[in-house]
Amino acid sequence: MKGRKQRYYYSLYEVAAAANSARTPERVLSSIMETVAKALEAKGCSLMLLTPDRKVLLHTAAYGLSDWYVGKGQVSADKSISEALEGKTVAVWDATKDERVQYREQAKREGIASILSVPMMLREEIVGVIRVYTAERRHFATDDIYFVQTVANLGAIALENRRELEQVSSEVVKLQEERRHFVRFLGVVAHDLQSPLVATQSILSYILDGYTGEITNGQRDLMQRGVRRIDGLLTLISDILDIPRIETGQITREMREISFNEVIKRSVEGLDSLARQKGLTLRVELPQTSPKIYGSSRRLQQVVTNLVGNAISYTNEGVVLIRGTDWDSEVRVEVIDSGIGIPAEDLPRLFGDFFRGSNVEIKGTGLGLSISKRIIEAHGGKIWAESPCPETNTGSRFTFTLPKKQTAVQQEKLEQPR
Amino acid sequence: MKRTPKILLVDDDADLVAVMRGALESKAYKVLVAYDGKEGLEKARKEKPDLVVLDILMPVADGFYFADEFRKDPSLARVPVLALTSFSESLGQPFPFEVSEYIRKPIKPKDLVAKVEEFLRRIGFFT
Repeated sequence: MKGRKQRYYYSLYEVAAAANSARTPERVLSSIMETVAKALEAKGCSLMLLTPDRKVLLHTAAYGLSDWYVGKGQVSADKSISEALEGKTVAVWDATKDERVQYREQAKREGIASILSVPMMLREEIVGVIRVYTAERRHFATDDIYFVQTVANLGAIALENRRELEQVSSEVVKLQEERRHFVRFLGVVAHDLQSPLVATQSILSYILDGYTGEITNGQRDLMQRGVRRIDGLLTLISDILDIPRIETGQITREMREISFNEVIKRSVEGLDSLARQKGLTLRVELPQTSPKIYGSSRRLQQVVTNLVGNAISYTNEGVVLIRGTDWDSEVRVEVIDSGIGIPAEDLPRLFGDFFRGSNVEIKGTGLGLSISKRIIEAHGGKIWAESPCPETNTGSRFTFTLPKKQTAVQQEKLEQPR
Repeated sequence: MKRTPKILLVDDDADLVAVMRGALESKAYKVLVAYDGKEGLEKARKEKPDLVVLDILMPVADGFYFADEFRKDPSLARVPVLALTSFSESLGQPFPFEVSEYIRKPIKPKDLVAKVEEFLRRIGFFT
C-alpha cells in the first residue's frame, strides 16, 4: 500500500513536470500516458479528446497500445465511453466480454483485460476521456481512480493553457501585421498630404522673394502668415505620422550604441540662437566621461529639443539648465527652467495627446510631449515633470531616464557653463 | 560663365516645378523639366544637362529608378544630382546611389538657386 502511494506521488510529480515543460504538446501527452500506465502498473493508457464541435472523440495520445488498436475506429459509440462522457468513471472488469465495450474482439487480440475510463473535465464540462488498460483482469482501487482523476484534471488545465496561448499568439501576430500595414498606409497618406502643402509654401516663398515683382507690405504680411500656418500643418502631419512609427517599434531599428553627451550637445546646438533671441542663457552640465547608451540618436535629440524648446517658450528671463547625469544603471536628463511653471491641475495630463496647457498663448501642436514620452518609453526609460522645480522652487523641471550600457566612452570633458 | 548652364528638373509636382523653374530662369540658366523618372532619363540622355535636381519620391518611375539608370549611363554618371527629399524623412533607407547632396523639402526657390549656384561653381562654371 505504501509503495503504491509513493508511486502515485512520484508519478504526479512527473506529470506536473511534463505539463510544465517546453516540449511539444504531443510529447507532453505521450509522456503523461506513460507515467499513468506505469503508476497503475497497467499495460497501457490512452487519451481521447473531444473535437471542438463536441461530436467526436479523437485518439490524441497513447502508451502501451499498438497502432492497430489505437486506430481501430471511432470510439464514440462505445457505451463505457459514453458513460464516461456523462461524467462518470467506468471500470470494466472484462473488456473482452462486457457488452458496454464496442470493440471486444480487438481488445482480446490486443491482450486487454480491464479498462478504466475516467472523464476529463474542464470546469465541469467534459473535454475528453483517459483510459487505462490492464493485461490481467483487475478491480481498480479507489486510489487508482483518484490518481487518474487527478491527472485528468491537471491535464485538462494544462491543455487549455496551451490552447489559449496559441490562440493569443496567433492573434498577436495578426494584429502586428495589421499595424505594419497601417503604418505603410500612413506613409502614403503623408506624402499626399504633404505634397500640396510643400508646393503651396514654395509658391508663397517664390512671391515673397520677389520673383513675381514688387509686393506691398500688406501682401507680404499676409503671405508670411500663410507660410507660418503651413509650417504648423506640416509639423502636425509629421508628428501624427511619427506616433504609429514609434508605437510599432520601428524606431528600434534606428537604435544602436551612442554617446550620451553627444546626443545632448547636438540637441542644444540648434536651440542656442533661439534662447539668445529671448535673452535667455542655455547652460549644459554633462558627466566628465560620456556614458554609452543604446538608442536612436535622432529620436533622443527630438526629445531633448522638445523639452528645451518648451522651456525656452515658457521662460521669459534667466537660465535654462540642461543637466545630464550618469547613474549606475541609467542616465538621467533634467531640463530646468525658471519660467512661468505649470499649474498643478495640468501636471497629470501633461504627456497626453493633444494636451494644451491652460496657458494657451504658447503655440504648438500639443503632440510634442506625448511623442517624447513614447520615444523615451520605447527606449525603456521614464519621463516626468515637476512644477515648481524642487531645487529652485520656481519654474519647472522635466526629467527623463534611459537604461544604460555598461562601458563608457572615455573622451568627454565636463562642459563649462556658457 | 563658360556657357549657359543647363539644369534638368525632375519632379512630379507641376506647381513646384513652375516656381523652381522661374527662380532658375531668373538667373538666365537654361531649364529643362520632366515630371517622372522615365521622362527625366530621356531628356537627360538627349540634352546632357550640367546638373540635375531630382525629387526622390515620385509615384511613377521614382527617383531611385532614375538615379539607378542615370548612374549606369557613362555619359551621365558624372553629372551632379541634387536630391529633394520630403519633410518627414520617412524613407528609412539610405539613398543607394551617389547623390551629390540632399535638400529637404519644403525649399524656398531662392535657396534652391543658391544651392545650384554653389554646385555650378564647384564644377567650374564661373571661372
